[in-house]
Amino acid sequence: MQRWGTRGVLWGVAVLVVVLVMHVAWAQAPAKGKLERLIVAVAPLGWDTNFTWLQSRSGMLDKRPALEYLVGIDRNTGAYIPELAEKWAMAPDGKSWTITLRKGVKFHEQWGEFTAKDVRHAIFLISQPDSVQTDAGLWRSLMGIEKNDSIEAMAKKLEQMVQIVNDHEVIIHTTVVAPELVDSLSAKSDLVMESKARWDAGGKELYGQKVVGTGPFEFVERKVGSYVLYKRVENHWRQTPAYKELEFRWVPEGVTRLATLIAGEVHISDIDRALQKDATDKGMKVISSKLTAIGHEWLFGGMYFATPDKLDQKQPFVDKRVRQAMNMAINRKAIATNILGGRVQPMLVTRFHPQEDEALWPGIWNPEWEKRAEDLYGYNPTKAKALLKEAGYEKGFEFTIYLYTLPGLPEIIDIGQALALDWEAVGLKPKMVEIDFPRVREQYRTKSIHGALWPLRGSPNAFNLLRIFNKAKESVVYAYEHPYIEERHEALGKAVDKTERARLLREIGDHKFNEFADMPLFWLFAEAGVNPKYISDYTFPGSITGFFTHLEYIKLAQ
Amino acid sequence: MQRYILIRFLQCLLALWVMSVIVFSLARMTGDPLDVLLPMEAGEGERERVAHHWGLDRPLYEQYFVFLGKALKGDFGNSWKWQGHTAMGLVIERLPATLQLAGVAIVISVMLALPFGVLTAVWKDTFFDSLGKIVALLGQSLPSFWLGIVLMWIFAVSLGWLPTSGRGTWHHMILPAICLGWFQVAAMMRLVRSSMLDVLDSEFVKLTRVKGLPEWKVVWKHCLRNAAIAPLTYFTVTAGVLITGSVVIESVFAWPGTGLLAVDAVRARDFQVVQAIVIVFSSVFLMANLLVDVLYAYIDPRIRY
Repeated sequence: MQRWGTRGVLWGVAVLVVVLVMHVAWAQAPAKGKLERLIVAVAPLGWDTNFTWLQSRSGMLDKRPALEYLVGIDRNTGAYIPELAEKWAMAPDGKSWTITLRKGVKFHEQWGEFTAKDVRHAIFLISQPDSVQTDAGLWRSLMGIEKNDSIEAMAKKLEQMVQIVNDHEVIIHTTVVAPELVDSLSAKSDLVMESKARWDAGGKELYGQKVVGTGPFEFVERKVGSYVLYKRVENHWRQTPAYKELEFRWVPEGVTRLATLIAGEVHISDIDRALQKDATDKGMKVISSKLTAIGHEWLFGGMYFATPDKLDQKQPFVDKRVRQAMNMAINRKAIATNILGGRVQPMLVTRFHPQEDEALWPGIWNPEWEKRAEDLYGYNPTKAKALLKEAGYEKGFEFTIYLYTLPGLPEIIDIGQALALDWEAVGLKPKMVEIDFPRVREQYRTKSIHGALWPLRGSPNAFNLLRIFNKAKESVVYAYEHPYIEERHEALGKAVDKTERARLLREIGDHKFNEFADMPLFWLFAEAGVNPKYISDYTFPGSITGFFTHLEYIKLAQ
Repeated sequence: MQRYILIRFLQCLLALWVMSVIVFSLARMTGDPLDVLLPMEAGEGERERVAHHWGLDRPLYEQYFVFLGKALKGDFGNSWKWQGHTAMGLVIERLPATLQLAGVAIVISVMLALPFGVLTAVWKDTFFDSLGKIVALLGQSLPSFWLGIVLMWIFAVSLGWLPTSGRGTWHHMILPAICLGWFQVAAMMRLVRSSMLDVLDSEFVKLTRVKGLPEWKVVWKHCLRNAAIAPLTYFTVTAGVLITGSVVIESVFAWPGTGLLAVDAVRARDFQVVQAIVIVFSSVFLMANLLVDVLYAYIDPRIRY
């Protein structure tokens, strides 16, 4: 081959590459000017659909901008505030709520004014037979809908249970006392207001095409697997966003989300805690929620004290001293500092929140827990060993630690490994097993998770936790159950008075605290990475499934 | 030849049926989809209601025959994760993105592997040859997700020349296509090099040189044509691998193709979508293999089955 000819070809290729690179670099230069489209990078949700009832609560994230609830959540305090409902009041018997609706609020796309008919329709949507929404079961039971009821039978029941007084007043009747219904009507839950007129015009097919509500953003487009795009509603009754468009962009890998934020392609991003320092080193800002958003605890498998046939007495966890020893062997401070960056608050009783639950049930929080926590739960390996010896487990025992990740807390596996080391240090013999979470669900659902520890994370609300995790019957997450708690559940089913309910809940809290029912660890904040070049302020409560709510209130940097 | 093609085609159909049994069974062995579909607080009544709605309360064999009957008509049912979409509709919607990425990766791999393979053979044991060996070694040993992240940080974050992720302009394609194609560049380059070395040593090449043909004509026309059989058959398999094997790259670069769809569907236990993807991927792979067999028989007349 002629050398000069080859060299010429190679030079030609090199020049072509340089020209291409320069062209690409020029094309990639970010346009200057005011931010018109705010882009949020987020890991894909469990669902990617326009239907609000065919997914669970976490899947609502990408639909919230277009939708509103009867009761809003204050972004600074987490308090319930009027949204589409101006007022709400419970009847003395606790079985009906009168709701006064806001006048003059319009649905997007000319679907008319929001009225009481839309409230009944919202309950219809969430209660449908194919609904898998988080509160579907709750609403079906509150409305008295049976498993085999047809859609027609269900609609008939709703006509009676959701009484339309006039266009702007509605009374919701419930089959059982529901003193906390305000929570289920609020933006923390699932009852979004969608247009009845639109349903009448095109039913499910039309609903599948777009998300239509009364929110500050109007739905533009959903590109499945890629993004969801909204445009702002001009002169919205509540808040007109400072930017014209909002995009949720699905980016599965944490490192890629960080790269998109630093490169200026997106303006807010969900950044893994392990990568947050890289973000701040590159000039990004990590904003924490106003309230702690995620509770994290580890549960003892097999604590079926209210169903003796399911209780295996041979399991060491059955002994209260063992449970206390395992709690006292945990170096919570080291885990918080080294794995979670220290940005946590201690959790004393699983999912009992000192501020949020106190707001719902004044008196639920027992100050004694704070005074005694260090004595009963504080890190003390010596005492832990002594307790194990007293219980007859001086040489330790084998048990399983289930490891899996859950959304919002990818550090669970690291935490599990740290816990294993702590327990080994007091002579126990943990065996770590990586497992898919649904496999664990099968075990706790069938009350067969003996001798294993399993982690959980979730939002605050003591009552929700107790009715789901600490009930022996008609639940599905069978964790710690006890006849003492059963009695109080029975009473809670009848009590309407707030003080009385707070007392019953506090008593359950006392029992769990004193019995070391599980291993409460931390309350964590929800955190969002933002590019300060574009965003000057983003305030969000965190108590609504973490971050990326209240996006309409974002203040831009320019 | 026709009989041979017919037999191979029937074998493909049999393999596809076996695949359908495997994917149906494996999907169900991973656990109950209701544990993903329903919130953890859903009660037993809720589970029964939703199981009935989706036909999950029927015996497995019945579920399989329903699946098979519909699959023969191209209907893989409705997706659970992407409510409102059919499973096959999703695969078809996302397939162009994967084909586009794989197509560019194939072009990159052929355009680089062919000339580099030829040149490293021609300039054997020179600096260029050593460079080629290093490229091949790195291409075959670097994990594609690592390469993807490194390239992303250099060219998108530090230099700002290319977008980090997503699909839009042709700029979005450059990094994922390079990552996807690099492994194949390395493999194909080595193959071209060794085939070329064999041919360069043969008698007919010496004859062409003796006859006074220009060197470029000897190398690029006579040698390459004779050395192309092995790379050509490998290329067909490569095409199948690139189309079906973009799962990691699509996840790293948030490229909305079938690879990413597959990952999301598996995470969500969306059986319908998983089944549709596996059947489509299997078909692509089987077709690629069939094509290789036919090409092989066509190119090399000695091969008869």
